[in-house]
Amino acid sequence: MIDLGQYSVLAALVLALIAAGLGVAAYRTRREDLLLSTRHAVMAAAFFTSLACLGIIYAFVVGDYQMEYIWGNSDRDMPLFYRLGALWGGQSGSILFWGWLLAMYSTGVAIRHRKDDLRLMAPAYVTLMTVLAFFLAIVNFASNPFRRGAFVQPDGVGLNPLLQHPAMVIHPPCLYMGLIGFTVPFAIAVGALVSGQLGNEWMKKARFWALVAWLFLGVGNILGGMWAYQELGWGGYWAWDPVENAAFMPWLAATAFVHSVMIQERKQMLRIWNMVLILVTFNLTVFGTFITRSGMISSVHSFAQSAVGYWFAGFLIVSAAFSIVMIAIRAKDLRSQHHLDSFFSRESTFLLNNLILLGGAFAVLWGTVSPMVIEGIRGVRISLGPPFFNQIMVPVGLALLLLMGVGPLVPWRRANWASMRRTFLIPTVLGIVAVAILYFMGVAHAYALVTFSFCAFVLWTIISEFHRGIRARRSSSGENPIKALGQLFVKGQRRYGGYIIHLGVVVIFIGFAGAAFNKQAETTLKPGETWNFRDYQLTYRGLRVENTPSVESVAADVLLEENQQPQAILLPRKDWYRKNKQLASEVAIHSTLGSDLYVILASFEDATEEASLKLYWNPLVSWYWIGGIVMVIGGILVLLPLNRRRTPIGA
Amino acid sequence: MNSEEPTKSSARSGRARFLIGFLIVLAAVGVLVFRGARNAMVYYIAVSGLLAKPLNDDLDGLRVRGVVVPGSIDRQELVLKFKLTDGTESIPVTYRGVIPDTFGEDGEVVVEGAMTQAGFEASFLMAKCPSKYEAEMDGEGGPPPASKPA
Repeated sequence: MIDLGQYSVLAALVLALIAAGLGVAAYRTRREDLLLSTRHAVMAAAFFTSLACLGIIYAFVVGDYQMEYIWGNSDRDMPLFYRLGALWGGQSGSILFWGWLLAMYSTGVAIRHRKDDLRLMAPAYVTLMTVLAFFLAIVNFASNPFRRGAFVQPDGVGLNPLLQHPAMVIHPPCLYMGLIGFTVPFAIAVGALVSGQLGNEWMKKARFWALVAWLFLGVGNILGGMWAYQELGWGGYWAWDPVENAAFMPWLAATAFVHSVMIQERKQMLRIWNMVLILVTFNLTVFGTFITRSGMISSVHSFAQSAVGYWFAGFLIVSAAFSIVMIAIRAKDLRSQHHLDSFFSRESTFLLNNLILLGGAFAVLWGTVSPMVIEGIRGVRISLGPPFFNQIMVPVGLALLLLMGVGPLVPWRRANWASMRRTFLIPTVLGIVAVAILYFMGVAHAYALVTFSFCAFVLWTIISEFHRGIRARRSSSGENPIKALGQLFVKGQRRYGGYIIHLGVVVIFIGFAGAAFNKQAETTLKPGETWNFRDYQLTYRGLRVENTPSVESVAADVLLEENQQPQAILLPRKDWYRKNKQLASEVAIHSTLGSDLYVILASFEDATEEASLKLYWNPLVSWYWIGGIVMVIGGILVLLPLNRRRTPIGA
Repeated sequence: MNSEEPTKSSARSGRARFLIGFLIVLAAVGVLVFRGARNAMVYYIAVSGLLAKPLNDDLDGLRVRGVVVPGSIDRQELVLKFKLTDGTESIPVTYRGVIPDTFGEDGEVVVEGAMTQAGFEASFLMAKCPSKYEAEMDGEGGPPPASKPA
């Protein structure tokens, strides 16, 4: 198995290089048959990368502990589900896995764009295969998961218990799908830059793949938050950790891109800007990978420091330099002749949205790298924690939220002040009424009130857009409201799917606002004692000890009542993993739509059975997860091939 | 933007307005970053550097990194006391809250908080796991199987 894997990664590397070479030849000779060969070589490289991944999975399943990677990331007691996840649980396996995802994306490109312009696609394949070759070179020469250990081990050390969580099996692939996915729009952009095919063609192809990657990256980030929330035990889901930031920055830049392409489509404007955005997004993903893998920035997520960091540093320098040079060469051809008609128009709201998104991305970038910069210049080590990011990103987020409501109300080209007053009247009043009601209900937090008010505004905008769309369809075709709604998603797929994504964002912001009211408390209880916290009564009923061959687990048995009504039995616990000699606390969460009650067993006394509990009361957290689901639904509505009469140029 | 004239303004003045708008947004983000950095900056300091500072200095918002002195850990319910050393000198640390799972003797920790007469009052404690998610495999430390023969 080891040999098969070794040969597979080598074959895949060679094929990726061959595909890149064929792509160059196809571009230079303009020969379609060479482009066909390129596409076949892409698929062959994908086949061998898949074979290598299957080899690792097989080794995990049968427990081939002569491979260091298998030994270091699994053991015989691990459930199959987690053994599959162990493929990307460690450094070398995850790099192979990245390569595999890129190979799959490349195959997708080779199929979806099989009939597309050679001049655009040949350089795109070359780019994709160069990046793939880079990952496979690391796998072959720097961090090889097929490496044999010094001894044949009877059993593995197991996966870090913190990583044994369902979200941890899904979160990394989603995140990687997002991060590596931006290679595709980048490759298509390179195709446009190299060939000079700088019209809307490249942008429409790139947009599809950028949306796919954007969706995965968003979901990956939310799932990562879910893992942190349930597993790390500090009561929150986002900590502005450098690795979280690394995945968040490209998401912000890509969000700007998926909005600004609409301006290019309508007005032939912002052509340089869109090109720059997609190059920036890709380079931010490379930068993020670099800081995560190099161990340069200390973070809870850091992989072991390793030479792989240098590989990514080199890659980042090459890709950034290449991007800058290509933009410089093509800047003249990308300049647009059109100008905005009016300062007060839909176009300006898009520009503002882009500017704020990029401003946010660079603020996060600054917060992430400035500790290093300052250490380099002044020799003092500093750190910028969550307060720094929250101070910036809360206003940035709120501005974006408001724009989401304002944008659709402002007409294209030029807004008429009198009609604007009419359209804005109802949502503005609605927002103010929402603030007034909540204030009299006792909500007295400025940011939270503003958030709820903006949410009401945006919600009204979304509903009225659907209302208008349905009314228009009914009057023109006499459809019933349900059918009209369905047809909106078919005919105006991107627009109305986009509104569903916006709806998800509104729901997410409601979840964010809840965090303004978080409370925490801690206490030590003897068995039988009851703790009153707000409307809750927590009765501690003693310790429960459970032993399995691999884990020794101690749980505090807590009966949760709300207003004297029994709600749940909470079992926050501490697990001792014998083999890893590692302690892992497992929190207990009682989650409702209104709030989460989040209980940690901080410590316990064996003799007296006294238990110290830490409790977080987190209002509206569920809305964050629900909003994430709504966003996914919206994203799928945008991407699904609903409109079958779609022309190759796109609807 | 309240004085939008219905008459067509020239491209030049339109562009100037956009430029002003852009500058306003940039300035706003800039101010936020600058203010945020000033308020939220936390200084890393070594144990001996901390002891060298006079106590009346501004000793809030510090991050101290060091190693837990073996045998110095005293846990009582939710209060944790231990000594933190950088190899030469050590300070007493008091921390109230949930102790990270990876906290232990000889382990590397980062505490954040303020220095007082009684010692370091930590509001935040981060314990670094010696092998984070994976043992060091690519470094010069040698492959882990050698250190744990069957």
